[in-house]
Amino acid sequence: MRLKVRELLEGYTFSIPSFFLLFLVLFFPFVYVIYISFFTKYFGHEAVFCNLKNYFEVIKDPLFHYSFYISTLYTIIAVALKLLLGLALAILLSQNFKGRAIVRTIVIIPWGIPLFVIATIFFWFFDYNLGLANIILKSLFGIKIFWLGPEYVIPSIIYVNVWKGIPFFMVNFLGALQTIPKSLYEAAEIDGASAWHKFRYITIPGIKYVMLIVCLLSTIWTFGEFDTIFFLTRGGPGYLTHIIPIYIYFQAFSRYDIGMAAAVSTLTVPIFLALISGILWALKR
Amino acid sequence: MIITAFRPEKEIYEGLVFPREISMNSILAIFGFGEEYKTVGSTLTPYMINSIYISLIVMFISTLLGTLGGYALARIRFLGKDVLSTISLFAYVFPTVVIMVPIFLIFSIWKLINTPIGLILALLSHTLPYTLWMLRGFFQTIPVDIEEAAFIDGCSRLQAIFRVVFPLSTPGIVATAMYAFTLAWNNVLFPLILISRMDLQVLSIGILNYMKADFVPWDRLMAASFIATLPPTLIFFVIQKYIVAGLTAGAVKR
Repeated sequence: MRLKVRELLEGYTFSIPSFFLLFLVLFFPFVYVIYISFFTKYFGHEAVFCNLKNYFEVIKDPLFHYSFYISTLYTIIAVALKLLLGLALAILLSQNFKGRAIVRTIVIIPWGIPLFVIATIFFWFFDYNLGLANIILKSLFGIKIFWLGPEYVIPSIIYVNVWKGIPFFMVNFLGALQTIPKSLYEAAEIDGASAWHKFRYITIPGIKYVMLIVCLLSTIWTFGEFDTIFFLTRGGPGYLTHIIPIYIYFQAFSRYDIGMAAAVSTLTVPIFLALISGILWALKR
Repeated sequence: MIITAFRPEKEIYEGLVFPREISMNSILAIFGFGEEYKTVGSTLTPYMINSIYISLIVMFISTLLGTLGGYALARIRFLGKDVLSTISLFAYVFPTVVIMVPIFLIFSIWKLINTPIGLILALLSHTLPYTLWMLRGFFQTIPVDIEEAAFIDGCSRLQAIFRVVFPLSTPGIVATAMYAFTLAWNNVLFPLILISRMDLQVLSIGILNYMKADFVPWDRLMAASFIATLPPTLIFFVIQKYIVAGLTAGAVKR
């Protein structure tokens, strides 16, 4: 019994500094954002209670509709592409071939580069006159494209996100593939299974939880990603790349409408909570 | 095919940073050497110094607290341990955009806008959950038996931690610390909203200001980006196996 009390004390003394700090800078703001979303609040002005007015305004705002739509579209396409390409690369790299280690190292590079640097690289890559994208296009087809102009900006930002995100998928899949026993494939071969069948009935079930966790994590990060799009387009041209994080940022720091920004932040919380619960569920499997 | 998609950017990007002789000038320019470079955007040296010391402090605090907390979550049986573990995972995964607005409001009430302390605190909200979760996972991989043997030999809990557990887990702690440094270094959102005085600003925002200029100084933008990439990328290659193992470790049966 004495030991238990001591353990209890030790447990709390060790963890209290961390959780006290997290309480201050994370949980308190988290509660505060929900609280302030029921107030009309502008910078430098008193907050006035307004019930659900901010929420009604958000729901009526066409820009919010577009913002939500484009965020969802961007996230789904980007995650799907990362899943497909990451899986393909992982399977390719799990084969034995010469120079595999080098290829693996090259493929993993984008993961190590900070997002804001990736943004500057692509800012240059997509530049109309100097960028590599147009230099290649010009030499091949003799045309140039405004990559960050209205027509191509969405595919361009998806390209950037996928480029950065593939290594995370690939590395995790590679790790998961190695846990599938070789004997399963051998047995299937003896039974005359085709390559597709082996993939469908051995590979996919073998890595499905890793796939789920990786996809959910990536969905959260893609949906909440701010850095690259802010650096590359600042939500433009016009409002075309106004994904939710950019919308919140401009609502708060350019229109100074704190209440509305808080309401949008609050509205995203259930989405994130649902996704994180999915991760927890998959981790416990 | 994808690999070729990866390669060009990198090679040409480096080709621009080091085009034979001109190269060193742009690198030097961002450190404030050379004549004409006092004009647009001027030097990045102060931003770099700010980035380095702020990231180091964040790294130190989050590793220290994360080690203690992570150990408690992994080893000590106390009420609320599972709840706290779950909270640290939630906190780690949760996107910072949600708390961007309240952090700004609260920090203005606390008079922490435009102070290094404010920025450090905000960054901790991002790095501390990470170190807690990673180190918790790492301590769980160290066999309990070793620790129990130490108890039997008459060690107190603290002695067991400092003499047995920490020495065994140094690589994990170092890797986590380095990644915490990277997280702080790479952050854009908090310096963007919390710091408006340029003398307190960090490297990522310094680079953003290059991009906002009417005339983009490409050579210096790329040189600065190159410098900004070095620490995180080098760190990443040293510690990648720890990062990779961390998140999905629970799901992959080894």
